[in-house]
Amino acid sequence: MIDRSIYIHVPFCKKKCHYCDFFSITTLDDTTILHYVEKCKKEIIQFAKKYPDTLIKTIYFGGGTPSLLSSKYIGEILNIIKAEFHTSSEETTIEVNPATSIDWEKYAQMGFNRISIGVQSLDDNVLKKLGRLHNSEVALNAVKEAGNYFDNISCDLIIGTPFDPSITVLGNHIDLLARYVKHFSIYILTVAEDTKMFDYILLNKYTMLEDNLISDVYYSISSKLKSLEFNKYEVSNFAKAGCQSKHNLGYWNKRDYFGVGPSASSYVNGVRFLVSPTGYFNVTETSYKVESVLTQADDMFEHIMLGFRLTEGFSIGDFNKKFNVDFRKTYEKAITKNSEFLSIFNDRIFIKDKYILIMNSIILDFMS
Amino acid sequence: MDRRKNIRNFCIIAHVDHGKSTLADRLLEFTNTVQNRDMKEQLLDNMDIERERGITVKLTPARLHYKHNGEEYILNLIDTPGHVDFTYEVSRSLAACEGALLVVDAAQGVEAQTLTNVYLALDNDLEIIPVINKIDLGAANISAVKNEIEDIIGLDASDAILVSAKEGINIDVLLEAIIERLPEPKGDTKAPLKALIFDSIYDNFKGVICNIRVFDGFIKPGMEIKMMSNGKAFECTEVGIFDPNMRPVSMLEAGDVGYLAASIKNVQDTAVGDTITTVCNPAESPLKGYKEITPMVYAGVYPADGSRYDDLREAIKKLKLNDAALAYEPESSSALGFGFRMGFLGLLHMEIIEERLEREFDLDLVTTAPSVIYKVIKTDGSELIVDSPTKLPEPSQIDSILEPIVDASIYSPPTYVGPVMELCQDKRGAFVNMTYLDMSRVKLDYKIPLSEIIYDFFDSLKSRTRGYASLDYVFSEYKEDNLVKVDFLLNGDVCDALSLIVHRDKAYTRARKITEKLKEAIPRQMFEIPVQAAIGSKIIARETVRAMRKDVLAKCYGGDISRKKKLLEKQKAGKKRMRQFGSVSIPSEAFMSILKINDD
Repeated sequence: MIDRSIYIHVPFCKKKCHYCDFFSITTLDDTTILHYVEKCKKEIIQFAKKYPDTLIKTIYFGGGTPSLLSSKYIGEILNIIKAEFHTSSEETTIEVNPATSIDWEKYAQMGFNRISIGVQSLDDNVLKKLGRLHNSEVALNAVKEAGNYFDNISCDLIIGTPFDPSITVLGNHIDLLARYVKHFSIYILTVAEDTKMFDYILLNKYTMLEDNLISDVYYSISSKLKSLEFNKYEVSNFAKAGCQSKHNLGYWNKRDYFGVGPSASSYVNGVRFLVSPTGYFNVTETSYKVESVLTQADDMFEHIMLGFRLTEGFSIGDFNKKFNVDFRKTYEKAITKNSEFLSIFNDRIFIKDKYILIMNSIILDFMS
Repeated sequence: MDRRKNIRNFCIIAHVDHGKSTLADRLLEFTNTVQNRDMKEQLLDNMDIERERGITVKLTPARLHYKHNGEEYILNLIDTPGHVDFTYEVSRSLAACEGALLVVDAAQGVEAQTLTNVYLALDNDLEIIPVINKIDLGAANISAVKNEIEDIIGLDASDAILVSAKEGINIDVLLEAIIERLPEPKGDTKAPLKALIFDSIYDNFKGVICNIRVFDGFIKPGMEIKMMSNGKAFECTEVGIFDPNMRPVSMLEAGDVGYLAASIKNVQDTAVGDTITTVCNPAESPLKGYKEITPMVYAGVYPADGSRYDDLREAIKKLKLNDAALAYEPESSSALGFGFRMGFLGLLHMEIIEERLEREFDLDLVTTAPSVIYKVIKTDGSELIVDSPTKLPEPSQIDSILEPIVDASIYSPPTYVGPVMELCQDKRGAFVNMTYLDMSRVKLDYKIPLSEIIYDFFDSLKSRTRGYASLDYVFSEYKEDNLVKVDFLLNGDVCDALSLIVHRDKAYTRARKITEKLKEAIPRQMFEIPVQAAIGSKIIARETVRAMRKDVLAKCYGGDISRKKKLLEKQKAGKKRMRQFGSVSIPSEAFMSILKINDD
């Protein structure tokens, strides 16, 4: 049996947020939804047939807005997974949007044991300008209510926006939320092309914060969380002891995963599949999956690129065994050049926390 | 009967923009030398760049036919380059003529180059016909321009020809004046051959083609000819005339203008101003006025993409075939890699060559700041020629540094005399003379270091006088001054491509400006980069490029991995266009922006 995970992308949204560049659709009619659910089920069955040696350890419903899909359909998809695969249900997560009605009780009954709430901010001005549909009160209520049904709650926040409140205010928000949650994902705002936010910045409606200010916000939030016993384990993720996201750690440790739904990507036995979102809703389209076999060089680079996101980095010994190379020799130049930014301790190599935000520049040197 | 009676050799001299090329076009058209349908604007300017910039670089002669009083006349029109960089070429093409049309813009009057060119024409004993052009313009002030021609130039303007080249007004009157007022060519067809080379171009099939004016004797295919400056001999394979396209003829004789081909491989062997004679019956002495032309301005030219060094070399070689004034030798820079040190006649020449390399050969170039040629007297008494700041010896070995000084003449309306004098002073100019030419024009003479002229003098002059002032200069002498080399250090290492030689008094200001610019242009990197300017080991300016603080992608889950990898690959490709300088990477584009620094 090989440990694998499964991700279900639920692409539906009431409205696209101004900063979002993920694939989503705002067509919410029954036909589209039904088509989507059926296709998901088919995909799951196909994966299960093709890879019968799989043990599904974690399941993750992300989006989009999974809580927009009725719990009936969520349940059907979850049941198919459990029927088709061996599962150990160590971690089953669903992302919820405070702006939707959330059937907490049903989720708990179905077997979800982890909730990720898209709070994003407790500042109404920020929420509005990010194009979110909820306000801080609604978000906080959702967090509180989730606590009645779940123990393992995560909360997403966005920082480094052009309209951030002061660091003190942000700190107060963290204090408040920390009473109810075990995990934080703190994302520095990334402005991608083809988003409303990008246009606003281009038109000078908003001005991006300077890098050094963003960096200051990030590190003060980091230390705030540390004082509250949320430890950073990945660039953007902080957890109380034992509450790290097992599912997401799978990505960074380069374990296999199945991706279901439009735009979802899978990585199985060294092959990456990409599900083209355009083909997905076209009934006649059958060849919507793009496969690419990773070369050893690609695979090695991905291992480094993802491993360096983790506070603990990755094991040099495991790397050498997996790729049958001598990591220190192969990357001697890159390691020397970046010696100031890297630490090697007990066989693990990682980026020093102080430099974690300039990771791109560091990993570029590891690219062949 | 002597056919020379019916030949007139003439050129047109004018300030830039006064309508020289348009007038030439009109003459070609009026004499049916070119059919209307073949007419392109400014026909004699062959290169795109020439047409776009409205300047002439290569000389193209044309033979016009015109009937006057029942007789057929041959009028050889020799175009002249219209820029100070090419003064010597102008003087040689003037030497090929007996007369000149002096074209003055009816609205703008006499300008700096008008006068320089008139002096060149007078030096060559040319008969000058004043032509006032653009008389159709509303702003035309014919009587004022006539006064200027008389007062400033000292020519009788009472019989100046009034034309509009654009509208084709009085072109016939002008043609008749050319025949009646310009002298016929002299010379002895039986004397030993003396032919003046006034331009040469390279042809892939025929080798070098020399544009010549025959003064004595004759030349025809099969003759053994010899260059009098270097003694090199060739067998003439073809002679011909410009009709306006090249047309072979059996012979060219005294008085004729035409071309010659002799399977000459190297354009350097056919120096402009040289005299061609025959091997078996050589002339005793060459025509006067030959001078070896040497570049005045040097710059390092590098491919933005280092892997295109070979392409750059081939491209320069090709341009060099046609341009004897162009000098080049390989050069390497720790910052820019492999490239060439190239010598030019002046800034315009440099710009044209750069533009042609980029356009005609699809190259992206990084060019260092232009430098003049310094003479360094070393402490051991020896003299060193320095065309690049990096070649300057250690300060302890330098006794003195001499720099080229030019005699600059600036023509300006009296209103701007103050700002112009201020500018000249600022550029270390030494005042020589000021003459009020008339109510509307002042001529200022200064001795100014050439290095100041090529830095940004022309742009400053134009901006301080709203474009009304004009400038001309000729090399005068070498003079010692308190010059120092300023180096720029990135993260402690000297960036050789940025070094410059400058007067000590200006070193601080220049150093500060460039360090500020460097700070702007260098992208933030993973560490802090000190940017320093130094004279020897003394730091005179300092800026800091702060370390980059963030480049991370906040989210990277299953679906983001391919996207993120693509993004990094793009970044990696961008890095390849960067110049690695020690531990500092600088994009080629940033380099260019630093080198294009201006005072204003």
